[in-house]
Amino acid sequence: MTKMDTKQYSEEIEETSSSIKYFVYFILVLGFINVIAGFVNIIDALLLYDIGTINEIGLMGNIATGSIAAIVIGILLLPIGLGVRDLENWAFPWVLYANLLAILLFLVNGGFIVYIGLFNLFAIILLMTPQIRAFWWKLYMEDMGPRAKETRYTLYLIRKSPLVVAGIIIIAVYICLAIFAPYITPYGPTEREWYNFLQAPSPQHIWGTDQNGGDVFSMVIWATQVDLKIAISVVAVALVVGAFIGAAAGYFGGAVDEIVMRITDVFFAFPGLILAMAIVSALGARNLDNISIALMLVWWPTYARLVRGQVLIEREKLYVEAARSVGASDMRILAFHILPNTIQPVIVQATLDMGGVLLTAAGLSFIGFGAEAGSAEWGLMIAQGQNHFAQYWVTLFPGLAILFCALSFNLVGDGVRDILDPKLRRR
Amino acid sequence: MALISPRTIDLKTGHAQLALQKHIAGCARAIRRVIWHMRLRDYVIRRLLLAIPVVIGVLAITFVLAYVMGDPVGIYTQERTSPEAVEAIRRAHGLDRPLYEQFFFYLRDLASGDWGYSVSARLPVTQVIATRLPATIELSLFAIVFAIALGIPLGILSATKKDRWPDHVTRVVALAGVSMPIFWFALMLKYVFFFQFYMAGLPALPEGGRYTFTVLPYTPITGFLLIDSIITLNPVLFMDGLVHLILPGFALGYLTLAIITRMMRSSMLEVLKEDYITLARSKGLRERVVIYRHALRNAMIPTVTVIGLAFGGLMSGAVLTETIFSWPGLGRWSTRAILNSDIPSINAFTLLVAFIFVGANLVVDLVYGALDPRIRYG
Amino acid sequence: MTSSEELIQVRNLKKYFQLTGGVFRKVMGYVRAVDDVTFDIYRGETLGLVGESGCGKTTCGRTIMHLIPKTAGEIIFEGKDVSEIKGGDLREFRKNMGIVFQDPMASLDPRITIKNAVGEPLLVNGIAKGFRLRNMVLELLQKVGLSEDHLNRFPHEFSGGQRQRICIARALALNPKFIVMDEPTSSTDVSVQAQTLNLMKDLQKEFNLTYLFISHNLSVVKHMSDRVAVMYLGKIVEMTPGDIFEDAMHPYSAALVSAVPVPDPSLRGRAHILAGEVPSPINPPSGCRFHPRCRFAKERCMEEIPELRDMGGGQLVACHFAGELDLGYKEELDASSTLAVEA
Repeated sequence: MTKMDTKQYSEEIEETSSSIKYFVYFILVLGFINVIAGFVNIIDALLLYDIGTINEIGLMGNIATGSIAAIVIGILLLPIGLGVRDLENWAFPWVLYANLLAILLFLVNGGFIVYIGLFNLFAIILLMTPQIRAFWWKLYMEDMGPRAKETRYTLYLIRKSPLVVAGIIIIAVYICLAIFAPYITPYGPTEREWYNFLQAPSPQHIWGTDQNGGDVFSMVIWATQVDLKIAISVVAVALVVGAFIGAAAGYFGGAVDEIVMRITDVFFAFPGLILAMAIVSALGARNLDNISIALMLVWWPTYARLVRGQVLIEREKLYVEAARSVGASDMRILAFHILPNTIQPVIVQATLDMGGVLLTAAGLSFIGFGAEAGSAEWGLMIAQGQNHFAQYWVTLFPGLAILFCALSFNLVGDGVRDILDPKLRRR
Repeated sequence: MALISPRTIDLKTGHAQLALQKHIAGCARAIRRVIWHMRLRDYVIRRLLLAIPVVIGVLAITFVLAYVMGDPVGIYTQERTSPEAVEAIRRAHGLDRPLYEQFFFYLRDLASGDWGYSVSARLPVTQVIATRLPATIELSLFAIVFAIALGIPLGILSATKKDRWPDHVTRVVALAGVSMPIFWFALMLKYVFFFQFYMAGLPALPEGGRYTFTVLPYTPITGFLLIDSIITLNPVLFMDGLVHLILPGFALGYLTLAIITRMMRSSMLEVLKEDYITLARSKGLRERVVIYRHALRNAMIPTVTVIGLAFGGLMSGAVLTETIFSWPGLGRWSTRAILNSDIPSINAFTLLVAFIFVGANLVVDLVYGALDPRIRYG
Repeated sequence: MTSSEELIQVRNLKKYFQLTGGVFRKVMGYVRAVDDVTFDIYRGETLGLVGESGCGKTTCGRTIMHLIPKTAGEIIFEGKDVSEIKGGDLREFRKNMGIVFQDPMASLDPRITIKNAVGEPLLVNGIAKGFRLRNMVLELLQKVGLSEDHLNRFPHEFSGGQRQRICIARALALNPKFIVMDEPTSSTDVSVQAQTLNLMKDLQKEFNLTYLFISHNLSVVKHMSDRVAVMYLGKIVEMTPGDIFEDAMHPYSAALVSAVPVPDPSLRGRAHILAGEVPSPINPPSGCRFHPRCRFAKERCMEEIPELRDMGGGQLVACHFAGELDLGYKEELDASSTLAVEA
């Protein structure tokens, strides 16, 4: 960081304090415009749905982006705008974040609200003008400096570990396959040449065809979408729910902790796959959504336990007591001190669990819980190929797809655990 | 206990201090030994008591799942059954009662051994379990023995030859184990050792089943085929059973093997960094003695817990493996039951597996408590 | 040096920790970490608190800071009873106090830069934000001998002595009147120790601070303190305004003093080594708590708890026979008085 004179920092505030007022008024007005636009957008979407211009998916998308935008702006911009006199330099990065997020949401939404986004763009331009920038930029850069340094160091450690790099590359390839499946695959996910069933690999069908004449190569790639979606959604939901419950249990302790821990004990009493089997049968319909729900129910206790344990360890640390001794509130201690220090093992666990969820989901779908017969899903494809011994390609390729996907997540998880290990990290 | 620390204030001089330290350490050790026994007993009792709410919770979950799965009246009725008749059946079976009463009936039925009737097997559930449980246990035991017998030496090898080729090979093997879909691995084993060997005219391993039932007669006595064949002095059946165990056992045990190897490696590396190992080495002990006499005992402690947890993985894996190898065990029955919406069977299977798992973890925790004194102070 | 105005008066302070055990973790007993302690701290002075590890001196400091709830007793700060203070009042009250912990590495959050760590007291108490906060933090860091370069670094980038100075800067941030120094130098090596101690003394003069200096190292306490309180098993056994090395009147203080290593070989071996182990504070000895290890113990010591008596000149001693005993720690070794335990 460049050295700066102490005086320089404070005098700039005095100079610019009059010009900043108008900017803050603008932010306040912008906040109101954004919130109102968000709600108008919802009403507009409902009207369009009524007259049949858009379908349910369009409606849900419109409402989601519109209302999220309104809420985000409401939470981030309005308080900043309202607190004119209290406005301090820490708030400016948040103005930036809020406006960027709003523009992103408006673009995704795509309705009339896109034009509202021009105001937000104007706010960002104003934020970057020298007069306003003098207010916050230096401090922001100075705050970001050490963080950027740590991030660079982490990236350096990652680059040094070939296995992690390999894992990340494989994951990136899978994600690209999922996104660009329509452009890569020669056949659609349900396209069949029923007269060409169980064909050996050939230039036409490079990984052969299955018993219904589906192209194995195309189906394996199409299945990436399905399986990655299950893995990501299960881990994300389980992580958020589990972390929330675990943090509450660890933080409040006492009866809450005791109850949560007994509940997780009960969930841990069942092997994962078998509890998921029972839950899917209880849910009734056998489809991928129910598999996801069952796996979320199975997986959240892992994170609840992990986060609770970490919170219990961290809250006994001396720096928590030090923060308390200077008057920091409990919520501040939890949010600023305890949670940032507990997040690393959770991330590692989540990466490793991506592989686990993938395998369990494939197992469930192998037994016959997955999507309807013939659809592109790795576990199901293996199940359908299991009786065709002579045609090894029907089972081999989907299995390899699962293997490499799970393997890459395990590689990254293992490697990142070593990298984040504080014992090895300290220079 | 921290309170009985053998340290006193700034005692900086000579032999008197050493003698005093020895004396104090002796006293402290005696006290600790007493506390050890007291604590162990308390720990065992506390651990057993903690298992009670878990068992109740397990029962509650299976009850709720069974309740949600479907109206049990459906089994007794047809489309023609009048609503009055349905009501009568409901009343006769207590299905019109409040939920907690039904839960009570559920517990009573379980306790009295009435676990329901398995439609898919056309037998009472308890009878199905009695005939199928030994097959599953036989398979699981084979898998776990295989996993332990191979996993622990591999883990030690990997740790002692860290960053040399045995380590790399072992790590790849272990990593593949945790990343491989067990059902796909089983199919591939079957493809190579049954199909390809058979096609090539080599002595192929059997495709599935517990024994060659077309050739050999077998009447279960204990239900464990290997034990029965020894009792009846039938070496042909014994060998046949063993050959049938190889593929499913290997497929099932590979995941556990991978987990044990990884755990053994990391805990061994952890232990080898400790000061007492450096001390043992500096005393001039041979490396073999250091590793097997000093390090192994301590490195085993975390591995023991992992073996307990791996039991759950084995049970999950058994469902998949048994389906693929037509193994007449609980797992195969459960998949068939689920596909036939045979609710009592699903319920009984889930419950049974949970009990086995809870029991296994209880045993492991108690062993762990006896091995590692630190755990009891939790 | 010692003004007569009391900043803090501690009256009959008790802190018991519950001991749980058995199957249902019922309360089996109490650890009497601090048991009926009464003392005053005067404005601008340093009160040293010495004792063996586990004698309750750290607990005493934390209880005065309201970091752990006390079991009984009163804490009077500037004439106001602050024993039952809670919530917002507690936060307001804590602005008057700071604490420096034993382990500077553990008392700094590893993921927060020094600027934010030192600035946290100012931020959470609404004193400063943004640029002003940064400047105030910088001033504080300069006071303890650090520079602007150090502002945006993480704790692990510093040496032990620097970390301890950062902790001192944080304790100073709210401009407190009173700071608890909980063994501040025990985790740094001797050369750094001296620097830190002198820094503390300078800061005390500059800001007119009052210190409670907790340590097990008598020499350090002597260097820092105006008055010294000696603690044994949760009780204060002696409190002296003078030099503890010269005036110790309690047999325990005498034994502590004699155990300090001196660079004079002619005096080697004169230490009265305390026999036996520190008794458990769960079940402390009857009467005078020191009697099982005291070489002057008499019948009376086992039955009657000695009160702190004024021995003149402000020296308080909790011994029935204070002043009557020949403690002999200043003379040559008396062979019979050394309790050397045979192997």
